[in-house]
Amino acid sequence: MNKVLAVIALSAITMACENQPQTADLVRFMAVQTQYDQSDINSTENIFKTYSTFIIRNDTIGYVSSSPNSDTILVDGINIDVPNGYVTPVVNLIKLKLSEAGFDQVSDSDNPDFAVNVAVLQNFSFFQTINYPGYYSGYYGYYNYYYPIVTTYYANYATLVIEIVDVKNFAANNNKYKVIWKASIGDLISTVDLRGKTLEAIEQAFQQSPYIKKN
Amino acid sequence: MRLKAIVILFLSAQSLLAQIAEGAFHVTWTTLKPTYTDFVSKTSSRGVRIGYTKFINEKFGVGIEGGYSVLDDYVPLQTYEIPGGAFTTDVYNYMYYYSLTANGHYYIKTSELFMPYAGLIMGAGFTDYTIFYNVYSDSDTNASFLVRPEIGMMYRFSRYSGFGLKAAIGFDYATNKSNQFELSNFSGVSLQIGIVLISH
Repeated sequence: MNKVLAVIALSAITMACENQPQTADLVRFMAVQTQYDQSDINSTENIFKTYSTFIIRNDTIGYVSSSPNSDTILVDGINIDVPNGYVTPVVNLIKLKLSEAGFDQVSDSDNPDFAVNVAVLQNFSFFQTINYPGYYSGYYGYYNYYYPIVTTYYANYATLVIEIVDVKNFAANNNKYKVIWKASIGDLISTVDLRGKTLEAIEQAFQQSPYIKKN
Repeated sequence: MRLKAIVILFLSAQSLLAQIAEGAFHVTWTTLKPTYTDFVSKTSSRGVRIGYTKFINEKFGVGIEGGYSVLDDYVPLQTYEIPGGAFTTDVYNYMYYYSLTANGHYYIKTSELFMPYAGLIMGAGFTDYTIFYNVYSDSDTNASFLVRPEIGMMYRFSRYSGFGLKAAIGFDYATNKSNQFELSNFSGVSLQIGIVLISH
C-alpha cells in the first residue's frame, strides 16, 4: 500500500512541477522597449521637429560584450553570418524609417542634427540596459558605451540597441552628446529567425514612437 | 447508585467519542480556480497537497498540510505605455503558490464508510509572482496569511481499512498582494481528490 501511495504522490508532484513556459513559445516575439528624453519630448515640445538630418554607419553595427578581447563591430560575412545578411538589412530599415519620418541622411562633414548608433550588447539583461548614463563624449556611442549599472549578469543574452543622439545641441548640452531616444530589442540569441524577428521588432520600435517625425 | 449511573453515562459518552483511528496521511491532486483573476485566470490542475490529520476523538481531527500549485496565464502581444516610453511584448504570468497550514476537521458522521467533514485551514501562504517575456523575467515573492474553509469527505474501503480516498472543496483566501505588479489578495476555489492512508 505504501508503494501505491508513493507512486500517486510522486505523480501528483510531477504534475505540479511543470512550471515554466516553453522557450519556443517565449521567443515568438522579441521584446521591444523604447524610451525618450522627457525634457525634449513632451506635451509642449518635440525636439524631432527641429531636426532635419542624421548620420548612421552604413555597414557596421557596434558590438559590446563582457567577454574579453571581443570584436567591437559586427560586419556581415566577417563576424556575423546570417542568410541574406544582418547588419545591412538592419541599418537599411532604420534609414528607411527615418526617411519616412522626414529626415535626410547626410555625411559626417555635413553637420548632422542627430546621429544614430546601432549596437549589440551582449551578456546582460535587456531590461537592465536602461540605467547607463544618457550622455556621451562622442556621438558614435558604441565607442563610448558604459556598462549598465546592474546587479545580475546573464549569460547568452543579447540586445540590439538603437540610439538617437543629439548633435545639434552639443554646445547647449555642456559639450556632451545627449541620448534623445533609445530602443532596446531582444533577445537576439534565442530567436529562431534573427533577421526576420529583428526587422519586425525595429518596425515595432518606430511604430510605438510616433513622435519621431519632422512634421 | 446515583454516582454509579453518572460514571456509566460518562464512560458511554467517552466510548461514543472514541477516536476513529490514530491518524490519516493524505496526498491529493489539487485543482485551483482563481476567483481573483487580475494576474492568472485559468483553472490549473497542477497542484498537490500533502498532510497528516490526527484524530482527537470520533468527531474532531487536527493536523498539518503543505501544498503547492502553479497557475498561469498568457497575455498576447501588446504595447504598454510607460513613463517616457513604451514596451511591447507578450507575457506569460505565472503564480507559484505554496502553503503550510494547520487544519481542524469536524467529522459530521463517522460510523459509515463515508466520513463527511467540515474543516478550517489556516496558515502561511508563500507566493511567487513571475512574469516571463521573451527570455526575461521579473518576480515578486511574498509571505502571507492563508485561510481556507473546506468541506470534504473521506471514504474508507472498509470499517477498519487502512486505505481510503479523499475529496474536498475549499475556498482559498491569501493576503498575498503584490505592490510590484499592483495585485490584490488572491482568492480561489480549490478541489482536491486523492488518497488517504489511515493508521489504526
